Parts: sequence; structure tokens; C-alpha cells
Amino acid sequence: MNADALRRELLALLPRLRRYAYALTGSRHDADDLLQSTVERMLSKGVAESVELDKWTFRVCRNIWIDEIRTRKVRAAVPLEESGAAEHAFDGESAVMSTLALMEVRDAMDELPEEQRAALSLVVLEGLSYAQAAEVLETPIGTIMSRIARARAALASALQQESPRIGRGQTAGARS
Amino acid sequence: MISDELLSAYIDGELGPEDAERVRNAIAADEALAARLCQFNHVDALLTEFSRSIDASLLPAKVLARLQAPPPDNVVRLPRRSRWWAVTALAAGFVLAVAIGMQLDTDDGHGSGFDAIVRVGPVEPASVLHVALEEVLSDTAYAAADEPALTVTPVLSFVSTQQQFCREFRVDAGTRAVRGLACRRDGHWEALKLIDVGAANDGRSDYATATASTDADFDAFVDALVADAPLGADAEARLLREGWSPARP
Repeated sequence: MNADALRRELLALLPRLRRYAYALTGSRHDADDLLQSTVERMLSKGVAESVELDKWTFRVCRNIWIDEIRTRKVRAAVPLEESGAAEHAFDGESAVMSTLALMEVRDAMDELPEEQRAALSLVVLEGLSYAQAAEVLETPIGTIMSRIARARAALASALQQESPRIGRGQTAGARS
Repeated sequence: MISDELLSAYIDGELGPEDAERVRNAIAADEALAARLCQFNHVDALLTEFSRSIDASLLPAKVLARLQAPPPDNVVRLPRRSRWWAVTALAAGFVLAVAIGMQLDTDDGHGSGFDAIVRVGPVEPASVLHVALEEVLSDTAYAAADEPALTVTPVLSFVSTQQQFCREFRVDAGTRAVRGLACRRDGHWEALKLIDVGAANDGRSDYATATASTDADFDAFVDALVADAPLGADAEARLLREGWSPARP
């Protein structure tokens, strides 16, 4: 893939990549550092045409987190409002969640083991299949299935114990 | 007995037809299982909402700058400076915003985002323009994570003759760019004037294509509204911190 095309593709991928980086790191500051490092690595190493860019970039991102950034950073215990992730909570009728509710979700996510956060983020937020997530995380599909189920169970338990600031009652059903 | 794993895989559409049918039947027959399904769906909804809050925060400028290609020499049309802000240096952030806007050929500027925010009248509270006016310093490009091809750059801030806070800004998306002026009244921003300084007007927009005369008109319009000199960087930063409060200077 030529450099211009790679830049364009990465630019389009940035929002998804940042959400994933946030799921890995748990802080906006570290997520942005990780995002920067991932982009630099992708641009410097280049990517073959045959590579599925999103999966490859997610994998690079995770490897950098494991190999470099995580070892030299202690996750900052920055309240969500200060970290900026919840500073633009939606207004009006679209305001499903308050900033406090967002903090509760962040805190509950923080309690999850990192590998569960990563799996959950890839499947629930980025829409990857279990097989694709398994490829990114270099782990068997069965492990992905198990991590996601445990993550959902843990979050359901944690968020149920929180105050009723978070609304209840979503429509049941399977994803098509 | 349906395990959490099976239920979770059912939600994710990862089961084969037979297993999916088995889970469906079990949910229909077992109230506790149906409640568990609701819990899991609720978790997914919360996570999605949480991820939107991440998307709404600023993308790191360094990363955006790294992904932009070198700008062409002969396309960018910078707004002509009016007399009282000619003393302000053209900051790097402003150049960055233009460059990003010119280079993102994945979006030619005709997307819903651009047209949705570039209109005279009240500024939508959840829009990228509103966030930029409320929270971003002048000469700093702002792009929402979910729409990195569209940047808003506040150019300067001032107190108007109507004793309102006003900001000149620029919106860039692909080949289109707009200069605008918005003022804050009763806690809301309202775009008072817009001119197109990018590609030729295609007739679909409710703002005029800039020519030498319209550009001058815009400058004159802004000049006429300014009660005093534009706010300095410190004053502007303080207002951003304080949420433009008090609403009237």
C-alpha cells in the first residue's frame, strides 16, 4: 500500500483505533500516546496490499501496548471528567447517560482484566467477529468467547450494584 | 442449561442455526435467562454510549498532523485579514486546519456533517462547531474523532457592540472551507454570517461564495460588531475554563 493510501486509511480508522487504545489503557492520555505510537509504527513499517488494515493495526496497537507503553507507564487515576472522555456527554433527549454514569462504566471497565477489555472492545464496539478478534489477539476463538462472556457478566454485576443513575431496560435479542 | 458463554455468543451472532434456536427457545421458556439476556444487552448499550463519549473528545493534533499529506501550493485560499487582526500571526494550528481540510479526499466536503453545521442560525449544541466555539482556543484546529475530515478552527474572539461574546471561525472539509461568525446569547451560539472561501458555490448552500467583495463584506460585518480589540489569549483561555460565564461580559 503506498504511503498516501495508508495515511488515508489510517485517518479513517483513527476513531476505532482510539476506542480500542482506550479500552487497552483505560486512560485518555495513555490512549493518545498509544495511538501516536501505533500510527508512527504503521507509517514507518508500511503495510502490504494483502493485509486487512484494521485487524493488522489493532494487532500492532496491542503489541506496542504490551511491549512498550504498559511497561513504562502507571495508569493515571484521572477522573473521567478530567481525562476528557466524558466531557462532551450528550445533551437533551440524546443524553442517555450522565457524566456520573459514564464514570461508573469507566470504573467498571477498569476492574476488568486487560484481556477481557480488549476482547470486549473489539467485538462489541468495533464489530469484529470472534474469529477476527482471535486473530488480532492471537488467541483461540474459544478463549475469546469465554473472555467476552466473563466480561459481560462482570460488568452486568458491577453496574447493577451502582446507583440507578444508569437507566435500565434494553431490548433483548441477538445481533443479526 | 444455557451458560453465559452461550448466551453471550448468541448476542454476538456467533452460534450456528441449531444452537441459536436452542438459546431462543430457552429464553422464551425461562424468565431468568431472559432477564440475563437483558442485562447483557444493557451492558453493550452502556459500552456503546461510553465509546461515544470517547469519540467526542479531541483527536490528538500530532496524530492528525502526521496523517496529513503535504498541502498543494496553489489551492488554499486564506481569508483576507481585516485591519484589526492583521497583527495576529497566522498560527500553526490555523495552517494545520486548512491543510487537513484540503487533503482529506476521503470526504469532499459534501457530507452531512459539513452542511449540517454550516448554516446561519442557532448552532446545534452537540455539533462539532458548538464544541469548538465553547472549548477550543483560537488558532487551534478541532476535529471530532468520528469525523476527522471536518475541522473547525476558531480564529479569534471578541466582545460585540451588543455586549455578547462572539467568535470568528473557519470550517474546513475536503475542498470546501467557510468563514463564519457566531455570537453567544443566553448560553447558546448563533451563527450570524457565513461565507464560502473554498470551492465555487454549487447553489445548494445557504451561504455565499466568497469573492473579493464578499470577503470584504464579511470583514466589514465583523469589524462593525467589534466593540474593542479581540480578546487576548489569556482572557480567552479564562473564558473557556469558565464556560463563557457570565454569559454577558
